[in-house]
Amino acid sequence: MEFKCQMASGGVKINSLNNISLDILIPEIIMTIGMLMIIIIPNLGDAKIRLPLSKIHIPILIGGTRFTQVNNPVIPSIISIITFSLATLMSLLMLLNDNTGVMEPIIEVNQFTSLFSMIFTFALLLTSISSLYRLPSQANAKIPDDSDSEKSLNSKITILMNNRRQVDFYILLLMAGLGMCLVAKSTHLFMLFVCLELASLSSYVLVAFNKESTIGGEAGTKYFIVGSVASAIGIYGMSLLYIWNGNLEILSLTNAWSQMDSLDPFAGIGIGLMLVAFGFKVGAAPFHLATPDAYSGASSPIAGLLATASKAMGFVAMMRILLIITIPENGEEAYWMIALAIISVITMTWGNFAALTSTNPKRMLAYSSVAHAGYMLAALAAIGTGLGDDESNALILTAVIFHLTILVLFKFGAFMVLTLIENEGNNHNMTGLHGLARRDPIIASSMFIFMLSLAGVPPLSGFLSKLLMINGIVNISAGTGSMASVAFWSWASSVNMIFWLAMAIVINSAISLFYYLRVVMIMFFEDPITNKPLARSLYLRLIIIFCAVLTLLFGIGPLSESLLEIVNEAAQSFL
Amino acid sequence: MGQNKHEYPLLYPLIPLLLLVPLMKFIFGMDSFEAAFLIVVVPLLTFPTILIVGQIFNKNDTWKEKYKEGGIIAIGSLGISLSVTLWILIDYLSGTLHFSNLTVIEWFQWISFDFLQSDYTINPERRIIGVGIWIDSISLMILFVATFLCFLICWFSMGYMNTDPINEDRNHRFYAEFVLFSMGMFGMVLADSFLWLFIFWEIMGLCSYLLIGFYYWKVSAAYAAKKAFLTTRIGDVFLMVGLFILYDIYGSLSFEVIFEDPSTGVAGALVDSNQLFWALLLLFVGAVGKSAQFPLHVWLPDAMEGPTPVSALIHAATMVNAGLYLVARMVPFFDVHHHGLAGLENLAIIIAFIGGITAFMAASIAFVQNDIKKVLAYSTMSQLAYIFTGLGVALWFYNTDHHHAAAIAFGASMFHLFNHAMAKGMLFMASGSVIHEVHHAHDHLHDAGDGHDFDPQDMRNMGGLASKMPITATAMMFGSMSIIGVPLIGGFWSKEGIIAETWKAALEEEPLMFFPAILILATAGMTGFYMSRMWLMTFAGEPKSDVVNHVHESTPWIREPLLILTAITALGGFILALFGAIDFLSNNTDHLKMHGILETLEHAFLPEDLNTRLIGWITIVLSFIIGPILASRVHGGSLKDGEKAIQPIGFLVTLSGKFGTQDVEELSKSQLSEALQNRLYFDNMYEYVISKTIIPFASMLAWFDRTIIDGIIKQIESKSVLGSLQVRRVTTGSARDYILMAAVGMLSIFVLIWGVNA
Amino acid sequence: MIDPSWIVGLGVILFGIGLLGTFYHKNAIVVLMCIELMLNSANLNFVAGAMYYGDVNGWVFTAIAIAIAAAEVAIGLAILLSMYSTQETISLEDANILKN
Repeated sequence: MEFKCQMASGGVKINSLNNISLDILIPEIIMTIGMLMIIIIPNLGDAKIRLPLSKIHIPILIGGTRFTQVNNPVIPSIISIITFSLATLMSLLMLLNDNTGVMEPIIEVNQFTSLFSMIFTFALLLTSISSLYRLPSQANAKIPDDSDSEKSLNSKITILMNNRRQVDFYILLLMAGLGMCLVAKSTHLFMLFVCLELASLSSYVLVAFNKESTIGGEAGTKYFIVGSVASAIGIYGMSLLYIWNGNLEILSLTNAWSQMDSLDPFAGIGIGLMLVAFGFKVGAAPFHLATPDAYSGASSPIAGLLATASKAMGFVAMMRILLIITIPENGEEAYWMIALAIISVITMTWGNFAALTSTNPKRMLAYSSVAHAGYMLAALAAIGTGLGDDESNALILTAVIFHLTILVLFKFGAFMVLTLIENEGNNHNMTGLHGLARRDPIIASSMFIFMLSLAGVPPLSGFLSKLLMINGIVNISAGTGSMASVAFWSWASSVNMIFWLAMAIVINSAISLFYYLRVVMIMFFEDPITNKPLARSLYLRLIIIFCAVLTLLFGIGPLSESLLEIVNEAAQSFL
Repeated sequence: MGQNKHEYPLLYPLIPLLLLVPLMKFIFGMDSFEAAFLIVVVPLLTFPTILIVGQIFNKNDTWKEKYKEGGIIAIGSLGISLSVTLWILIDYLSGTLHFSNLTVIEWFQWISFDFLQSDYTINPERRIIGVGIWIDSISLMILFVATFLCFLICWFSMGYMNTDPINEDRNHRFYAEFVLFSMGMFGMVLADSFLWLFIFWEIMGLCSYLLIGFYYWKVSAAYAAKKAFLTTRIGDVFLMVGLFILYDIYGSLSFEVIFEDPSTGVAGALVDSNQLFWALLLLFVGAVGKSAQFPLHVWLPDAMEGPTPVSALIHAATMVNAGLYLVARMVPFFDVHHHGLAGLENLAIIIAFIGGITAFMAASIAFVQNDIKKVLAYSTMSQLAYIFTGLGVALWFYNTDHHHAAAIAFGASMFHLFNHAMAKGMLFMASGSVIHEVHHAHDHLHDAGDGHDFDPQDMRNMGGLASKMPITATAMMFGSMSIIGVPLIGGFWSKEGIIAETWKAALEEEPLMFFPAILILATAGMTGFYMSRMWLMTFAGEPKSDVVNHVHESTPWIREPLLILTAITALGGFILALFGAIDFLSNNTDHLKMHGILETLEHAFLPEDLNTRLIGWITIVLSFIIGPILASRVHGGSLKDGEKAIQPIGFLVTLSGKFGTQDVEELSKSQLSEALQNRLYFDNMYEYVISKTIIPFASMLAWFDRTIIDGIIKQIESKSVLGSLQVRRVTTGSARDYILMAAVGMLSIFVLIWGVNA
Repeated sequence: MIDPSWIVGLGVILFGIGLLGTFYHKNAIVVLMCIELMLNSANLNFVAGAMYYGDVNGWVFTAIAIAIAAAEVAIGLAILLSMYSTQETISLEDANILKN
């Protein structure tokens, strides 16, 4: 291959920001404003500055003795909750109003992106609310002095530390939210990657946030190291794509790809390397190995964030690569189909088998989320066969997006229940869940709903999404088997391999019931280790019940149908 | 007992419910049938409410005193069902609403699905299973019986259940199950398809199991519950297969689709009457199980192990009527006048035969029973058999295009159902009152722990109660008279109609009908004997144990429903008969009311046909004179000296004393008596057959399940656990290994991509 | 001027060294350095592409990628420090409380 050096001769086209309406970026703007508020508001004080050469003191409001109204350490979390609520609401409105818009060449907003920014912001809202209790702040914290015993000294220090880092925590959450939302909206590969890095770097810190605990730092380190390697691989892949095409706009890459006669090594390796990076984000085997460690070392709200929003972000990026850039047009098989199919089978089987004997509930949920990633990858692989028409592809994509949407409800719901239990100081084994039904029947029944939904039991929404995925895969593979003879084997060997993915999903679901129901069994049949009721945690409790109810409502009845309709429109707008 | 008088104010909070129907009618402007869903939905929601609230406030005093452990809630919801039913009934009778024979309301679509045709292509039209309501004269009548009796029995239960210390703290379960049971019956009657009919039918099966086994710690009760459940289940399996065949024929189970034109099946194909015969026969087997007819009758007597209100519920209001309703629903298949299929006469004859056999058999077993509730149980079987015979005859007439005769036989059967339900509900309440008071008196005399062996249900321990419990005795007298068929009282009109129509069929058309005709005629006399015997053993003669001397009249919760039902049995039946109930119930609306009255009277006493007239008078003589006189010969006797009972029962008791007492010792030692005591050995026979056939097969299956299937599952489990441990070991905890694995994964992606595409 | 293909070749070598180093070394700081190598190899590619196509975007990408790398190192060192303060090691091999 030969390179020619060509310096830029003509003027580079630079878009001016003048003619761009910013209203398509409302959720992001809200989050940015929220970030500024978190920085400014807690620092408001009575500081004054003396005008030079005079005795006039002008109040500048920042610094000095803080006003009592903003002195409360709970303020950052409140700002963050308000911000995420507004962002969720705005995304929902944008979704319902079909707001679309383009900011050439990096941003595009349509129903798909609005839906995903709603998913991200809602997951972050849940994180903020549960962190209200997981990372408690306390107004009027005492300053330790010499007369304290060691125990009270420690607790006072902990309180002070917690108060101090409230701002950091919520700023990081807002950063992650900003990054995720922009990932969904970007139509430029480099933009996508930068935003992905923004979200990832924030999440590394969030995982390591409990730096006093031994495992917090370790989990953060592992997650960071493996994640950085993955993103370094990804960015290298991207640079190869740049060499291949000279342009990283997704549209341009798509055109170049479709005009390619045979697989260009730069393009092929580049896409393959990017798959590794996004595979790490979604938790696909064998790139998932750090995720269980990260989940179990992080606090439960953060683990929930990683399992839902971060995973959804990975899937968005992956869908851009797989379904937009590299999908062949005329019913051919995508070249990544077999690789993805095999990865998906390994992922779901690995996840389910590892979860079978996990004794740490968070690890169990981590492995279960790996398994769920496997199901969704299988669905994406089915689109790659090129057998389906536009409608059936849209149906499969609908199933995947629907799954990602409702996953926020029940997977995060399970993590929120774990948050409640973690606040009692027990987060490494199942004993915290023992006899939960007797201690707190409502929370236990919510957990029951979450577990059944994760396992995919009708009539819960987890069942609906899984059913749609399997249905879509089978639909695509239908008719590929040779019906010439009655013999089973001739049919079995001729049917498209994607059919066996559906079978794998079914078998894996059966296996997964074992460990989900074990949690239920522990909650309902074991004796509780303590008879104290769970902490009151009003808002967390309400939001858990809210999630449980929505899990049910999105599984059956009119609400599920309207959500499916919305998701279907989003999928259509994406393809 | 007077001190319970103040409990009625407990019902005052329910008074606003009376406004519900006027509110819906005049304020919201609803039509009565639009409100029909409330009949089912309200009890359905009450069931969990009582269960949950009862579980929470179990030991709470207010819950016990003010809410009667859920009884007040239950009666409120049943009251709503009753009032809506009455609203529909009034609309129907006054003709303000034009139910043109039936009303169908489609609520919502439940399931809709594609289905494969025989060539494995998908049929373009989707099948829809909806949820809806179907009301016509049959369902309305049975619905009224069910709601009315459920309401009264619930009322009765508050006097019966809540005063019994044995039910302490678990009455809320009783009321919850009671309401669910009632809901099952209402739903079954209102269902607009055989599918929903079957679903509610099964709910009733479940509730009968729960309620019969309410005293689950009694071995006999648990056994009886199991027996009732399994026996009816045998019928249900046949019923289900029958429904499959029906679905195959018509492509739907909806009444609307099927009854539109029963002679054309799915896609306009002509229906094979032979296939339909088998479908309907299987449905009939289901009805036989539910209504306790020969040969699936064995569960009914044992079901007496449940609390008495449950017996009343099963025997009068709900369960046994379900089978009758199912058979009554079959009319459109037989009605050759309106698209029915010819060639189903044999099925009608089978139904009549089963009815005749059961009637005779049950009556003869009832001769020797000493348990007051068992006598009533066998009497239920026998009377239901009358109705089956009547329905069989009606179906036969329909199928041979004797439309007028068919209408009369059908109307008579339905009217008998009504009369029997009212009388039997009342009889069970009365017997419950007797048992309750005898039991209390016994508890009063003997401490619980003194081991005094005493059965409060055994009539041999009673006698002479007429002076102690005059209201109960009067009520029971009217009930017995209605069952016996004393002229001018309820059951007479309908029973006479059934017998006369059966004989008419036998004499004029079908010699085979002689068999059921003779059997039910004989049974009429036997009914007179055993019902009189029961009454006399309980109320007449001198007390047969010291307990009886301490018995009082019942509590008010028990008394009121008794009085209401007595009035309906004594007068209501007469009035209804005069209004031409038989014509009305058979939907034979081409007569004027006056015509109906004349026809009814003429039919009962002076038919034109000499044979029929002869049969009518023979029936009257047999049942009204010979049966009771024979009973008086054996069991009659005056009260103890110095005790007097109110008229007219005092007169009856004295009259029975005139016939003197005949020694029956010798008679009771005969072989026939022993066989009857053992219920004609049906239970033994069934047990023998089951132990020889099903049990060995079942134990073989159990072995297979334990070793092969469980073994495989266990193997899979242990292997998966091993695999799981292996898989988890890969997560070593070292980030270096993770990166290595990722690198390996990266390389394998390349291998897969290039390997496949090269 | 150097032919861009040489630059790409150098990038491949750097990338290989970096990737091997990440799972060869125990010391987290060294691993961090290896990650930097990988990122820089990507930067080299961007530069080569920019030269080849005469496209200014490539240079911009490089600049931003360097910024990302800097942020990554900053965060990485902070996280490593928090691990060191509790476990007193920065060896990726030894820090394995969380496993299986």
